[in-house]
Amino acid sequence: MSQPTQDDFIPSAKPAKYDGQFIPVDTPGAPLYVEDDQLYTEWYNPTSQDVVLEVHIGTDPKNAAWRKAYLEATPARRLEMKSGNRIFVIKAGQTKQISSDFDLAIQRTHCLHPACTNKKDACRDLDHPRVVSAGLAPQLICKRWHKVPGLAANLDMAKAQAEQAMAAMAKANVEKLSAEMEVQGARKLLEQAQATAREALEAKARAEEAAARETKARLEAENKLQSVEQAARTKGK
Amino acid sequence: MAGESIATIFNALSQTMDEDLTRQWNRTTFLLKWIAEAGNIKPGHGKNAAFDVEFTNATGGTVAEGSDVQASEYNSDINEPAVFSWATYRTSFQISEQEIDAARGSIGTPEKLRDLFGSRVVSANSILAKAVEQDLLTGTGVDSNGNPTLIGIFGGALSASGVYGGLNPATYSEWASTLLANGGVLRSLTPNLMNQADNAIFIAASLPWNMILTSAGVAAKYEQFFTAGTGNAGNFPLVRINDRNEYGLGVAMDAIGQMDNLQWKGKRVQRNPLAPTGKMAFLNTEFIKLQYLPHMPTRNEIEFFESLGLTGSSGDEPATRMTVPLPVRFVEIAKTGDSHKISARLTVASAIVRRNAMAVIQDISES
Repeated sequence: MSQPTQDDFIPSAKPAKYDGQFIPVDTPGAPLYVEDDQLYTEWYNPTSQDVVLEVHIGTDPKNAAWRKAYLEATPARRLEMKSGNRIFVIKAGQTKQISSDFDLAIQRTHCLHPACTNKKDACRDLDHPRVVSAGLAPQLICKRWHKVPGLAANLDMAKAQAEQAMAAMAKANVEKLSAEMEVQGARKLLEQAQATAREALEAKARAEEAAARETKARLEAENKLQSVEQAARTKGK
Repeated sequence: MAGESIATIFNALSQTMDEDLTRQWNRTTFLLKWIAEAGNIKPGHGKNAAFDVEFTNATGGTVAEGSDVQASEYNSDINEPAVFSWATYRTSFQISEQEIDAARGSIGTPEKLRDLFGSRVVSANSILAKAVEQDLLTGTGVDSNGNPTLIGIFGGALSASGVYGGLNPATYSEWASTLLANGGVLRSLTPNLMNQADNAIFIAASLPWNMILTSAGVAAKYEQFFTAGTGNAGNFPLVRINDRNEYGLGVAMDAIGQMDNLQWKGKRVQRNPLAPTGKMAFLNTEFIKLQYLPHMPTRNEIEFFESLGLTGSSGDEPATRMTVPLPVRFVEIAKTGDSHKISARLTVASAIVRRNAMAVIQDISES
């Protein structure tokens, strides 16, 4: 399942700000202006794996009411009360509503708006672009924001895996090139050795030829000398 | 007549033991040691351990030249108390007078065992040390009987939701730690993840964390950043790619904790046998407080408890002995027969008073 893009996201019907409808809170009879009045936040799991959220809710054993409830709780309820964690499971492809109290735990976002004057991690302007910088499940899509937040580069596991694969491929390429260069070097050395051997053979042939010529010349000279000596002996007689 | 062998007199010889008693247990207390080193174990007072904290509320900005100060401009940061309950840890033992007398007179027995009372006190002391260490790591604030425990750094003290110390991060977002989990889906530890934790702490608090605490498995994964692929099987460091002390591996630094000198950004990466698997915490021990509830002891008790301290160790190995200034109170319960009933008790409270200066990475694969 591919990650939804910004275009895929259907923004809430309610605008981020009540433009033109804002009445100062100190005006008599004015409705209470609440920018973020959602009790529940919708979380969408776009991945192919179920997401498990262990949200910390805390324990309070010094509180008599809490302790009484704990001692009377069912085993499953007692497990939650003892661990201090409430577990939510969001199945692959599903959307779940979870109390907005846990928003910060599920995802912390970092505002990217250049003109935002809020603290980067505390900006709650629904229209500001943002990246998910921490949280229990950075892979979830929070439907609170009007723009789908990106994922901080350090948390982008797909990107990390792609980078790892690229690094492995680059390493393999380097090794391949290195091996090819070694083969080329070996081939060159072989050619050099063959040329040297050929030259040696040719030199040997030339030397043998020269030696043959020399032998022939010596034989001819000896023959000539013998014939001169024979002619001289014949004259003496 | 046949010659004798040892079998002839074997049963007649007395059984003597080596002079050493080798304890097999491991009750080391690495985290307690680091909190003690930060000077944050102190006596507490009153009905609980409470700390005042302050959150952002005040604002300031540009105004028109010569303008009056408006009522809305007067504002201040918010001060709140963070309140933590006392938790009582206790261990008890009962030894008979006959047992003590028999041990004391047993020649050829390790001296530590002949001093049976002392031996049991040492054990009780380390049992409490381990219990406190365990809950400092994974305690949830309540045990299975509903009694209060410490809230550990992996048990809720470093979280971004739920009430901690009476304060809720949903109200005060600065009262939240950074959590880097992956929805329960395990993934590899990467330098990027560690950088993200470091970045988050910097953005939230701009205070340097001073140690990483993790399980042995995750520590090994961190170690493999520097060793993988350099050994015959890719898992044994023949070549170190980075010899700088700020990162990676060095020689074993000291015997305490049998640690490799694992460091990241110049800070120690400390593994802990009690830490849960798949998690890594970036801690700032300056903000981890531990208070104990002192009782009113006699002069003799003060001297005795001061000399005793609270000691975690792995058996008697001096290299792993970690004594921290948490005084345990040993009390002999009313004698009703010919045995001594001893109870050791410690009342303690822990608090992380600046949660945004710390972070936890979760869902790390150790395989």
